[in-house]
Amino acid sequence: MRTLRHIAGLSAFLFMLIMTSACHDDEVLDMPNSFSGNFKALWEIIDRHYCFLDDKDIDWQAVYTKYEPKTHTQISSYDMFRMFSEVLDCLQDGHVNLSSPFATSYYRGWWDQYPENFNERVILDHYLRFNYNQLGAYTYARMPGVNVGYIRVSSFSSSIGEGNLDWILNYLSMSAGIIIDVRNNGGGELTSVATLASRFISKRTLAGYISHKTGPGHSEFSTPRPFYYDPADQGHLLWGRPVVVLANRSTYSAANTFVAFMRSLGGNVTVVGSTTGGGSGMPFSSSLPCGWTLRFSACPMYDSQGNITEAGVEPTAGHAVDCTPEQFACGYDAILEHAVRLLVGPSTDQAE
Amino acid sequence: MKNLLVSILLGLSLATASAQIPSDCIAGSEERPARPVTQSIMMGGGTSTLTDTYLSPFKTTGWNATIGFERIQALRANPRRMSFWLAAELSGGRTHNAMTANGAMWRGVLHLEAAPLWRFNPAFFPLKVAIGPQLSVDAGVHYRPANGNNPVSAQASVAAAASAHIIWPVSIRRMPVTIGYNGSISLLGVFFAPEYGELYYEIYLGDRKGLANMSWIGNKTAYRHLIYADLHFGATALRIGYSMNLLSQAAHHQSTNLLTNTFMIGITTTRLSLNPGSIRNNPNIQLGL
Repeated sequence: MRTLRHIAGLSAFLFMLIMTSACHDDEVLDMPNSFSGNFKALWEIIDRHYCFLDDKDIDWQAVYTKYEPKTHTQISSYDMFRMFSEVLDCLQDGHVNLSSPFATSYYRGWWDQYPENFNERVILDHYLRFNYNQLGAYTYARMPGVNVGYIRVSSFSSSIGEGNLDWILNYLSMSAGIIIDVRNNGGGELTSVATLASRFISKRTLAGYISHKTGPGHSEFSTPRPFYYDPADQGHLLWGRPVVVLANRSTYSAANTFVAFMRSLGGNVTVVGSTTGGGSGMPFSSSLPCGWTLRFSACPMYDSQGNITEAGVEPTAGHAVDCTPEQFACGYDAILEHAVRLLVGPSTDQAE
Repeated sequence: MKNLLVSILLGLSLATASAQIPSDCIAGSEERPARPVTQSIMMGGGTSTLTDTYLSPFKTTGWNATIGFERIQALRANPRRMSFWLAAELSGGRTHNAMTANGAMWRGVLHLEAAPLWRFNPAFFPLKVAIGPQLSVDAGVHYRPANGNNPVSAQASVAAAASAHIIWPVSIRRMPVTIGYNGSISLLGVFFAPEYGELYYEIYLGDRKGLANMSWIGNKTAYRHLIYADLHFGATALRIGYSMNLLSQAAHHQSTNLLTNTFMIGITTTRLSLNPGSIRNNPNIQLGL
């Protein structure tokens, strides 16, 4: 019986040893589900994970000092959401969202102070005369009256097959050049970007660099690692003629990456329009004690020159074009007109 | 109740036992004793607590479901002293934010283990004990659908562990019962973990740096045990048990903590796997054809 007690005691000791040495709590947060607890969790997560605090010269500690004293009251979920949205707006980042069961916050400052520079109806009506093909997020047509192909990519969120791209490029193969319109394209999958970009290169091409945080410090990052795009496999169509990419401020995230890549190709590729919206931080998600999901930029991406493109990608020098609401009202897209002139000469004005 | 129990046992027996012959039907020779296989199939349900800071920094709680298989047989090379242990377990569950019951997280992991065991009988107690080194392999995922670019945290590890098995044969109202404990604790190994803020897209692009992490008792505790009672009905036994799985690991400033408590029920059989070539000439065995 005594031996049994010894065995039981030893077992209990070993069990306690395992239990006490077992719990690793790196990055585990235990804030309560209160206004103050949720604010502290939000602040901590951004402080540890957000990747542009130094690049944007944001004093995140000052944000804490400003807002934390306001969190010691009882307020409704709506008011808490509104205050947290205001806090996150300090990051000036379209990739930062707070998702609650009743709303998702967005920072709109990256585009709402800029000309829209896009009107889809004007293009479909006045330039394509409603004669176009639709394939997922791709709209394509031979522009009437000029030997130019037009491809609008409204989003990179849905993937497109290599065979689909073959059909599109084959349909436009007699054109002197093509226009790829990524205005108002808010991004999507980077793999979709690579699929499209692969049609405009003939050899493996440096697309940019990517890095990530290696620790909670504001400047703890991995060495930027290059990534490359490969040309489409043999048997698929490659495009070697002139290309004009249309961009505006609402060209964001993966579309921003596409524009940066196409711009870096130079040669017969020209970017026309206005500076893109940026969004070069690959977003990461986490959560708050109340269960709301927090999304934020975590992995900075750089263009092939090693420049961070969070502030946007400028059009090719000499090809910055804006379009006024009055021009759109008259059925005139100055950016598209500029692109057509680049491809087929100065004599055509397409708009009716 | 008794009929129900017998029906369950019969059903499970049909599922597990092929060529089942009581071990005393065939007497092994003095040099090469017969090596019956004892194997169990179990399933169970219980609770789980999971924190995976790659997905969320907050603790989640929920349910756990497990299907398990284990097999032990005396080792051919040294059947009187050694055995070989094999086990597989598929477990999964759904947890949610412990405070608000939202933010669902799913988990699915396959666990495999193999161990050569040295058997001995302690002089002071009617126990049978077997201990040995163990190879443990885990593969699975934690999945949080609400996360956009980082919805999945892959779980993969290979570890050398210490394994212990204890059984205590007793009788309860003339029914033979085997009370047992199977436990293991991971000692050294390798486990997968991306760097602090690394997305799987970067891994897809070819960044493999820091993915394989050495594990030792200081940065990874993986302890699991099953405490069970086999209630013997002839060559077949009904198993009821309690399984605990504790995992805590840290790498790149991130951690994963998992605790599952599962009530298990299953069937245990002891059988001989016969080699048709050798048994045809054995006068003690009558084949059907």
